[in-house]
Parts: sequence; structure tokens; C-alpha cells
Amino acid sequence: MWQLASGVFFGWSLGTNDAANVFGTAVASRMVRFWTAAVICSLGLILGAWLEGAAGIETYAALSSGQGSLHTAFLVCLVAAITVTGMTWLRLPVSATQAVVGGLLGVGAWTGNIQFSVLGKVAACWVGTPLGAMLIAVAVFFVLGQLLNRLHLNMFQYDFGMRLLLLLAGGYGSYALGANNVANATGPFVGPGMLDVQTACLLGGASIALGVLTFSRGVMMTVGGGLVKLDAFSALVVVVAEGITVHIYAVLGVPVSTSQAVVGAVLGIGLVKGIRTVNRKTLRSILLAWVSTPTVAFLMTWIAILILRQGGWM
Amino acid sequence: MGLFWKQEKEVRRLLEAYIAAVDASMGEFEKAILCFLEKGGCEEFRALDKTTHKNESRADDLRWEIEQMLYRRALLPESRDDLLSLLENYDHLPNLAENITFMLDTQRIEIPAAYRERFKRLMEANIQAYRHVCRAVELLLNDPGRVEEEVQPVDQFESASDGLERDLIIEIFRSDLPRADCIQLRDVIQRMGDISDTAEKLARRLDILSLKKRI
Repeated sequence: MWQLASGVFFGWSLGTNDAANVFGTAVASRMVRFWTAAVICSLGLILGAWLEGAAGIETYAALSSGQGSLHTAFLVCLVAAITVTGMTWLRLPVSATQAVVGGLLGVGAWTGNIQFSVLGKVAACWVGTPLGAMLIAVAVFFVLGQLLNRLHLNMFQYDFGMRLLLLLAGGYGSYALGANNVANATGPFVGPGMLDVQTACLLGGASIALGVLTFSRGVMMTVGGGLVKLDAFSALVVVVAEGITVHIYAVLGVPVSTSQAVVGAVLGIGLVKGIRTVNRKTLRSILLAWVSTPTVAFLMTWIAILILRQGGWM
Repeated sequence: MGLFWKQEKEVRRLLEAYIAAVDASMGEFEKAILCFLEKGGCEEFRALDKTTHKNESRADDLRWEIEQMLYRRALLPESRDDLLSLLENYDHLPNLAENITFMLDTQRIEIPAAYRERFKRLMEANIQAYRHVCRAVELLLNDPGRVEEEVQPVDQFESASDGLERDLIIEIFRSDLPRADCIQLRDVIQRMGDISDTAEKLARRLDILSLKKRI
């Protein structure tokens, strides 16, 4: 049972970081209060994980099929958590999903059982995340923009409507985040049979929600403030596009990076408005994250297993 | 959500009260100038000067209350910034009005009969420019699609005011009036013209603000 601690810890750290991708802009710019955002985000996360988190968990179970034990699941989650924390501390771009997949591949390299077909699907979706979010953002911008223009709202009605929509979109984004990312926290424990899919969904969702409630305020303020300054409508489009993108991948059963979906959506806003919303450095960071995060997690898991085997602990 | 709506309703109520206070101040200013042109610095003029000042002070207090509410997170940041900058500029209008009546009273200025009619027209052009801006602000809060209707005439009144202002100053300095009187009159005329200049700047800002909400 103690092995689960690493999964819960990883879920918690996911919650502290990824809630910022949903509510960061709104909270940092004071469009929405932190506690309102945190409660809606937590409820959305748990609901998303519970109702639609199974597909991603099954993907991880397939990726690690035949190689899982509780120790390796513990190791994968621990390495992923260390990779995410370490790379964040070093200010290097990082994706929790890619860290978990790197860890699972590290285990697969030892057992000689890497599911390349599943891996190919996962990697293709990583590339598709920012691209998909960008296209969806463009579409949402035009559709929602036309609808709002037709309503002829005054300043007060616009403000009220925008805040309401930001909360609803944030709730949906949190739902999609829970459905998509719950697999990262407790997915590796399903393969070895420690948890059934439904329990993994609930436990993972709850641990991510705990991270949101206890420690996400600082990250929300930093990430929200660090992103390009968006007006309320553009912020709404980004959250909706990110939610739709991540939700699609949740249905497909592929955990993806919400940070990369946000950057893709912000790029889409830039495309529509004819302005540069994301600089080259950020784009380079995404490309670097695709390579560096799974590589670091892969190497760390591989070395950890090597040490454990040499010491006769595994 | 109820809290958002409550705060926004309160900002709206305060804004309407602020606009009414500014309007009362400008109304009293108009009466004060007409009285001054007809009767000079009499008691009636002084009473109207006082009420102009009183309404301007009331508008100042309301503006402060609105700013406090806005800094306490009412409205979205972009609307908050727009409103704060709008209030800052709008507030120049009653300040100018109060300043003019104060100048006329304390400096014991006399407007020679030859210039009174044109001075009256100058005041009317400036008051008209203000009235259109006032309606444009009300439309921004209620029906932003129609702001442009009220913004366009402001430019005409500002141009008319500019012409009158120039002609009056040139004529005054060509007259036999003592140089000190000319300078005093020039200051009052320029201050009066500042009302339509401010109104024009506000009108352009209001036009942009109404367009900003279109996506």
C-alpha cells in the first residue's frame, strides 16, 4: 500500500501546477477569486477523473503491460515526480505526462517489453496537442465572438457574462484536466493490479484536487502573470480551446500536457489577431520539453532500476 | 456570482450618481455664466458659483467611492482600467467649470459689452460639446452600439469653440483694453475652450471603448 504514496504525491504536485493552466490567467488578473477557482477546479477535476479518466489509465496499463509490479509503479511515479520537481526548479520546460511515459519506457527497457504501437499513438498526440489547441482556439474565437457581438451587451452585462463564462469554461477545463491527467497519478498502479480503474480514477482525481486546494495559489499567480496579458475574451477562448483539446485526448485515452495546449491556444489567438502572442523562446521550450522530459525520466528510471538490481533489492 | 452582480450594480449606481453630479455642476455653471454676462458679479452669480462648486465636490466624492470599489476588484481588469481613465478625464470638465466661475468671481473680471454675445456663444458651444459627451458616456453604460451617434457632433462644437476662442482673443488684444484685462480675459476664454477640448479627447476615447467590446 505504501507504494501508492508516490502516486498520491505525484497527483498532488500535478494539482499544484496544472490548475494554473485552467484558472491562472483569470485568478492572476483578478477576474476570478482564488478560492472560487480552487473549489470549482477541484470539483471539476474529481468529476472528470471519475467519469472519463478510465481511457487514459487503460492506455498506461497497455503501455506497461507485462512489466508491472508495485515496485516499478512506485518507481515510475517517484521518478516522474522528481523529474517534474527538478526540472521546474531548474526552470526547464516540463510535462508531467511525458515524465510518466519516460518512466514507463525506462521500466520497459529493462523488461524488453516496450509497446511501440501505443508509444507511437502517445507521441503523435503530444505533437497534436498544441496544434489542435491552436486550431480549436481560432474556431472558438470566431464562433463565440460572433455570438457575443450579436448580443449587444453593455459594459456591465459584458463583465458579468464574461466572469460567468470564465467560471463555466474553467469548470469544463478542470473536468477535462481530471479526465485526461488522472492517469499520470494513479495509472501506473492499475497495470500491476493494485488498484482497479475506478478506484484509480477517484484516488487520482482526489489527490490532484488536494494539490489545487492546498498549494496552487502561488503557481496560479506566477503562471497567470507570466503568460502574455490577455483580455477577458481571449482568456476565455484559451480556456475553452484548452479544455476541448484535452477532453478530446481524454476520450482517445492519451494523457497530454495542458501547458502545451495553453501555449497552442494562445498561439491561435495571436493568429486571429495578427499579433505575436508567444515568443520563439517559448516555442523552443515546448520542442525541448518533448525530448528532454521523457529522456530525463527514462534515464532516471533506468539508472534507478540498475542500482536496485545491483543491490539485490529488485 | 451574486457578489459579482452586486458589486457591478453598486458601481453602476455610483457612476449614474457621479454623472448626475457632474451634470448638475455643469448646469449651474451655464446658469452662472449667463447671469454673469447679464448682471456681472452679483449675489445671484456668487450663489450659482457656490452650487457649481458644491456639485463638483459631490462628484469628486463619488469618483473616489467608485475608484475604491474598482480597486476592490469590481469589474474585469480591462473594464476597470477603461473606467478609471474615463473618470480621470471626465472629472476635468466640472473642474474647469468650477475654475472659470471662481476666476470670474475672485479676479473681478468684467466682460466688455462688445464681447458678451460671442462669449455667450463660446460658452454654449462648450456646453453642447459637454452634453454630447455626457450622453455618450450614458450610452457606453447602456447601449454601446450607439456611442458613435453622440461622439460625432463633439468635434463640430469643438471646432466652433476653437474659432470663437481665436477670434475673441485676437480682437481683445487689438482693442484699447489695458494689457492686464486682456490677459485676464484671454485666460477665461482659453479655460472655457478647454471644456470642448477635453470633451473631444473624451469622445475619441469613448469611441474606442465602444469598439473595444466588439470582437
